[in-house]
Formats: sequence, C-alpha cells, structure tokens
Amino acid sequence: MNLLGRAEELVLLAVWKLGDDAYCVPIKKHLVKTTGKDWVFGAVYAPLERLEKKGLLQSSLGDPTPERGGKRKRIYKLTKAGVKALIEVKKVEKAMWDNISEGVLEKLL
Amino acid sequence: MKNKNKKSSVPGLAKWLLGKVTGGISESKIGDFEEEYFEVLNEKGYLSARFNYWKQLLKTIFILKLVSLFRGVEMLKNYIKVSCRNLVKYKVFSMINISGLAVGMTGCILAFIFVRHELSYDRFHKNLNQIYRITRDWVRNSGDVWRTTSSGHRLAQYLSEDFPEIKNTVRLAPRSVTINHKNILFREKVLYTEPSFFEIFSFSLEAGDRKTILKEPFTGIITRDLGAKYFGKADPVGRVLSISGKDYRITGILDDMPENTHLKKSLLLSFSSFVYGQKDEEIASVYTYIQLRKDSSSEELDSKLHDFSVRHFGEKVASRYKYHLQALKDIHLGSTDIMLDKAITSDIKYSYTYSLIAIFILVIAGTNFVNLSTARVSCRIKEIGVRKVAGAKRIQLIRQFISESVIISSAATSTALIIALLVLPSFNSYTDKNLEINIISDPGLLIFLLSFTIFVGFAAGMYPAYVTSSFSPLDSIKTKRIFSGKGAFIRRSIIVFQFVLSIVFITVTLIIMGQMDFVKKRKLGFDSENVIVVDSMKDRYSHQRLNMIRSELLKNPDIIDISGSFSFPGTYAGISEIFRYTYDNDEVSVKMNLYMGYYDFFKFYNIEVIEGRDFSREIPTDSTEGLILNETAVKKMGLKSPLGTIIRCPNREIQGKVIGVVSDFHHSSLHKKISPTVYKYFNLKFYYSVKVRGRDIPGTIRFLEDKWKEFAPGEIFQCSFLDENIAKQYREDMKTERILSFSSVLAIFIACLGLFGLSLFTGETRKKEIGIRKILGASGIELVGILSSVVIRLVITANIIAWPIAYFLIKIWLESFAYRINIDIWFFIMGGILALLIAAVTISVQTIKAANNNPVNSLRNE
Repeated sequence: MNLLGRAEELVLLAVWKLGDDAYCVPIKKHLVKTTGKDWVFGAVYAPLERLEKKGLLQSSLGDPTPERGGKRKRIYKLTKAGVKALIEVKKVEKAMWDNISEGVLEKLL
Repeated sequence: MKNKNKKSSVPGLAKWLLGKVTGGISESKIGDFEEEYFEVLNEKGYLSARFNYWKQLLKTIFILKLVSLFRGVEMLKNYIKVSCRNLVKYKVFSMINISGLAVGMTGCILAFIFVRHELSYDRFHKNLNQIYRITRDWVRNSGDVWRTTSSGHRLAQYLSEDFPEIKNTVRLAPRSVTINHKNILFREKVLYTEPSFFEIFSFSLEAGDRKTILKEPFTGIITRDLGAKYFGKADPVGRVLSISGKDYRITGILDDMPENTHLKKSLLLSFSSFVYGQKDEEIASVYTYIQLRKDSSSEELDSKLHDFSVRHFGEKVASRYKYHLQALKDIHLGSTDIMLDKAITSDIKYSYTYSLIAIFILVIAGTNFVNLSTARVSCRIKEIGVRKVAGAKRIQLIRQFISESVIISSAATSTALIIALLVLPSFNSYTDKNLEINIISDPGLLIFLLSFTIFVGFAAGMYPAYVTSSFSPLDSIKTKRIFSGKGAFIRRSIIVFQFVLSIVFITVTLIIMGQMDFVKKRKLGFDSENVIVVDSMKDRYSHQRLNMIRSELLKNPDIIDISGSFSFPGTYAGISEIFRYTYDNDEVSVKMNLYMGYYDFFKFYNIEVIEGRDFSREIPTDSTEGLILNETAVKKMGLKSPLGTIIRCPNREIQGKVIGVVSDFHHSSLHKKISPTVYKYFNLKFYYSVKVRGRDIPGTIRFLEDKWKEFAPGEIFQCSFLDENIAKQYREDMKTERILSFSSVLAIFIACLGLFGLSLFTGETRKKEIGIRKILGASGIELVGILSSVVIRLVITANIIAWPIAYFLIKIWLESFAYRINIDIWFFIMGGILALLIAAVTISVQTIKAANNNPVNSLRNE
C-alpha cells in the first residue's frame, strides 16, 4: 500500500482521537498542541481533502453554531480503510523503531 | 453573537477573498476561520485576532492555490490532448498554418538575432557611459561640412591637461600594413595604440602586463589565432614580425576581441612606434578617445571644446575644424555620416528593414491562421455544440481554442528554429556577420522564442476563439447563418489585407529590379571593360618612374595601354573645390570638382574629346597648366568658347588654361548627378589602369605581378577589374533587391497558402449549391467563374489599395538615384496581374475539382 504522508498521518490520527468533535478547528488546535508548531487552516485542509479522496476519511456537515457566524461544521470520521491505514502506520513505525532503546539517539548529540 | 459592532465581525475584504479562493462549497471553511477569529478576539483582543485571521488566510490561499494549480495542469493536459487530435484530424489546415507561421517566425528569429547583435555593439565595456570619441567637423571652403574622426595626435594631451573632468585618454591609429614574413607578404589591419587602451576599454590580455604593454616602440600584441598564422604552434611572445620594414617584438597575447566591438582587431602595435621619428605635422588620422569622470557631463565638455580649440590652434583653425564628442554607444550605429571612418559601423536602417519585413510576413501568416480558423467553424460546429451541451463554459472553450493555437505556434517555432539554423549561413554571408543560434547557451533567445510563441498563439487565437465559442448549441443545426454577414466581411478584409501587403512587396521588387537593370545597362560614357586597376598603396611616384613603368609594361603584347588616375574612375567624382575665373570682366567663383588624370586619360577610357585635346605628352605645359572641363562644367561656367579660359583654384594653388572639353560621363555611381568637373594632370598618388586584351587574362595578371615585384619591392600587388569596382557601388542596392524579391516570394506564397485553405472550405460549404447549379445546366467554366469571382474581386480591391502605398515607398527609394527610371504604371499593373494570376491558379485546383464533381455525390447524402 501507499504509505501516508507525515501530515496525513498526523491529521488522520488527530481525527481519530477527537472522535465526534473532529472538525477543522479542534484538529488544528490539537496539531498545534502536539507538534508545537504553528499550523494554518490551509495546511490542514489539504491533507484532509486528500485523505477523503483516498477514502480514509469521510465527512458530513454538522449543525451550525452561533460562534461560527452561523456556518456549519464539516465533521470528519475515519472509515475502515482509515483505521487500517493507521494500523499499518503504527506497524511500520514500530518495526522501524524496534531495538532502539530509550536515550540512544540523545547520546549521539 | 455578543455585540454587533465592527470590531466583532471578521474582516470583510478577507472574507470575500476567502470566498473567491475556496469556491462555492466552502461554507464550513469560512466557519472555521470565523470560529477561530472570535476565539482569538476574546482571548487576545482585536488586533491580534485580525492579524491571525489574515495570516491564516494568506497562507491557506497559498496552499490551496498550489493544489488547484495541479488540477489546472490536469485540465491543460486535456486541452493539449484534444488539440493534438484536432491537429491530426485536420491535416491540411494544420500544415498550412504551421508552415506559414514557421516561415514568418524564421524571419523574426533572424531579425531578432541580427537586431540584438547590432544593438549590443560595445555594450560590454565597463566604462561604457564614460567613453567618448572625438569627432571633427571640417568646414570646407566650398561650404560643405565633412564629419571626420581624425584628430592630431597632440589633441589627447591638450585635452587631459585642460580638463580635469577627463580621467583618461587614448589615441588609436587603425592602419593597413604589410607584413613580410619569411619573404611572403601579408596585408593585415592593425591598431596602433597605447597602454591606456586597456584601462579605458574592457579588453583583456591572455599574456602580458596591462600596465606596461604597448609602451615601448616597435612592440605589439597579437591574438592566438593570428599568432598561429605566423608562428604555428609556437608561443608568439618574444617573436619578431617584420611590419612595414621594421621589426616588431611581440610582448603579449591579446584575448580575441568580442565580435560586437567597433574596434575589432587581432594585432595591436604600440603607438610610440607609430609616431617614432616623425614630425608632428606628418602624423595624421589619429583617433582620440576620452574617458570622463563619473560625475561630469559630456554636454558641458562638448560646449567648452570650441574655446579649447581657439586656445590651442588659433581662431582660424578653430572655425575650420570643430571638435565634438561622440558617445561610445553611438559609434556603431550613429556614424553613417562620418567620412572614412575605419570603425566597424552600420546603419540602423537595416535593423528596421529586417524587422519590418519579418513582422509583415509573420502578420500575413498570422492572419492566415485567423482566417482559416474562423472559416473552419463549419467543420467544428458539431463539436462545439456537443461540448456546450455537455456543460462546457464559454471560457473553457476559449481556453481550448487558445491552447490549440499556442500548440500550432509552438510547432511553428520549432520548425522555424530548424529552418533558421539551415539558412543561417546564407544569412550571415548576406549580412556580413557571424551570428549564431544556440538556444541552450542563449537565454535571451530562449526567452524571446517562448514569449513570442505564446504571444503569436494568443494573438492569432484570440479572435477565432471568440467567434467559435460564441455559437449556441442550436447553431450546430442551422449552419447557414455563419457564412453570411459580419464573419464573412472580416474574412474578406483579411484576404484583402494580405494581398495588399503581398502586392506592395511584388510591385516594389519589380521596380527595384527595373532600376537595377537600368543601372547595369546605362552607358557610363566610358570603357570599363578589360581594365585592370592596380592599387599603388604607398608612395607618390615621380614622373620619370611612371614613364619607365609604362614603357616596361607595354612590352607585353597583351597590354594595350596604361594610364593612371586619382581614383578608380567611375567610383569617385573628385574633390569639391572653389574655382575662380573671369566672366564678363568680373571675377566669378564657382563650386566644381577637381579630378586628376594621366596623359591620354580620355583616350584610354574612350571618352570623347569635343573640343581641344587630351593631356598630351608632346606639349610640356599640359602637365603643368593644362585643364580639361566636362560639358557640365562648361555649362555651369557659362562659357561660349571655353578653350583658353584661365581658371584658378586658390585653395590648391592651381592656375591653368583650358585645353579641352570632354563629353560627360558617369564619374561616380548613378546615385549622384554628374558634377561639373575640372581635370588636371595628376601629381598625387594614383591607381594604375591597365587596359588588356581579353585573352589570357590570368597570364597578364601574373606578368603585372612579376613586374610589380621589381618596381615596388616590399609592397603587395593588389589589382581588381574596373567594371567589378563599378558594380560594387551598387552592392547595397543589390542587397535590397535580393532581400525584397525573396520576401515578396514568401509573402505571396503564404498569402496563397491561406487562400488555398480557404478555397478548400468554401468549396466544401458550397458543394450543394454547385450540385444544384450543375443539374440546372451550368457548365464547368461557368461554375469556375462563379467560384472564383469573389477572390478575383478581392484581389482587385487589394491592388487598388496597394498601388499608392507601393508608389510612395518606391519613390523614397528611387530618389536616392540621380539617374532613375520613371515609375511606370506598367509596373503596378504587372504586379497586380501577377498577384491575380497566382491567386487564380491557387484556387483553380479546388474550383475545378468542385465544378467537375458529379452532382450526385454532393446531393445524395440528404
């Protein structure tokens, strides 16, 4: 299978963690918090749309809320393929980091 | 929302922008932005909320646009695919367009590299804007002003002493020298100059010290290539060349000067050797260049030069010789009026002519494209209909058509590049240049080609795209409407326009050919055949010596006669001077030309002596005070009995008596009127004219050369045929004739290509009409008449428009000839008939085919 891109992986993971509240604003907030980097909406939209196109995510329009100026949210949800992709990523990740004990890399600095 | 004031709402402009960029489905995205905006607003306040919003927005737009760009590429791929299919499907159409445009573009490529090269002269010098050449306007007694560039060799020194704003000066003396290398003589163009040459100009040395090089007398530097000619593979530094009888030591190697400098030379010699052992007044024809300081103005210096001249040379000289500054960047293209300029100069009019011709031909080809594309709508109307029904927007159709025309123009550009590479050698020999086409190492050319391709694609594709995309799907059923009305009018106008251009080309070419024929056949009034002219480069020869040479040469039975003159007869009218004589007891002065000839000059050239006699050997005074006039001079002076009239020319200290009158002959090219001329027995440097029998000319030349070695050891034998020299004067005109006749063939060819394509389509659309006419009894000839009448009418209209334009243009050209043909109406009629015939032949293929078609075929399918 095609491996996910890094941004795709992070976004996909964020969507899963956020559960029912997975629309763009919290996703972005979550990413900012976990990566410590500044994210813009565009940088989230692009992977979201790509993931949706690949069939790893599906989206639906939620209810409008007043703090959004009456605009509806687009809420994302993982599909089965999305879950599989995450499992795959996790597996690869684990295989890659296997046998590397804690603190080894830091010693190299 | 908590409050409705301005601060609480999102920035309006930004919101609008976001909507534009993200398109219709972006409700949720706008929502995202607003949610965050209000959150930041509550936490950090108005300013940072706004700032954050804009930052988010701009970055998002950037990222999203990147994505949509890739989608655009997908679409473009589709356009290209469909375009290519169309090109293949309508092969004739594509061929006509591509070949026409390719020819036009070839012209443009060549014109581009030519003009770019012309404009690039001397632009590479670092001090470009500070370097000036000193020019000298010589106000002659006769009132003429001769613009020259020579100045005394002290001028540089005086200038730098007087004007602190002059940073540096350099003196140059371009000369032709004879090099004696291992007893073989070579002629070489050299430049005598001094070390500051390398400080002022940005030329570089491969070997040698720039500071000291060219300082010592009898040293020089040479380029590797020229060095190899004399010394083979050996290092030229330290070697010795014998130049004009002196030994010069080579002290350095000069890097090849760029092609685009007016000073291009391969051998530089030290200026100190040029002036060595000579008195000041013997040194003439030195060119002075100055380099100004960066902050000083050249106009200011120029205005001070008159006072400077008075200070150093006195009032009288200063009013006679006026010094001016000429900017380095103007030298190559701005020196056409300078006499005897040894710099490599050119006339800007060539750049204009070539560009104009190229653009005209390209316009003819481009309009072909427009015409054929709009005409072709009939074939594609179904395709357009289907596209529209399937939901294509108009802008998408326009994009489709534009990309088609850009593809055609790209194909044309690639073809043009190949053609340009093929014709480049002939173009180079035609323009006397060494131009190259190399797109890889030449970004300028690459950018030109790319932008030009796109420009031509757009310019030619715009109108057809507009027209073709304007039909509604319904039109694909009722096709009739398309071929009447405005579209047809525009197409016809385009044909007329193309033929106007072609006819102007043809007519102008015909008249130029007529004039050149006239020039060739015109009786010059003297014999120029079988005359060999030997150029004696160096000294003035004494009387006795000339006689000796003459009698020696006449021993050869193939040599009929020897004479001599001041210049090649037929190419130079002499020097204009003021002559004085007494007329009706009054002292009259008149401006005439002075020309020098040898004994029996007129007999030699078979020029009729009307009164009196030729310069005679028997009468000794002929050589001292004998003067001969031509008819024009007699007329101008108003003499009834010219013989014996005493004429003086105070300027030359000449006083003489008229001993003969000769009939007028063409002294110089037919561009100039025969001027009133006074002939005197010569006492200056001259050209030997040797009249030979027409047999064994190579042998005779060998004989002359052998004798030359005896008479003038150390001098190169240079000879040429007089009639060739006379013909050389029309070189420029021949060039004009050649390029125009070539261009008119191209112009009419491309115009006819378009006509041919158009007749294909009209033949197709009028198929049924022809079928019905045929059934009703029309004969083949009648049908051909009907089909071609439109085109014939158009070409005749074009003729009427073209004639005045051609007349006006050719009049300007012909006015440069003092002796010229009349602009005869027949030239125009001939040009018109020629165009008409070519047009008729072009469409005849199609019309005859259509007329002979069996009506069953054209009517059956409904």
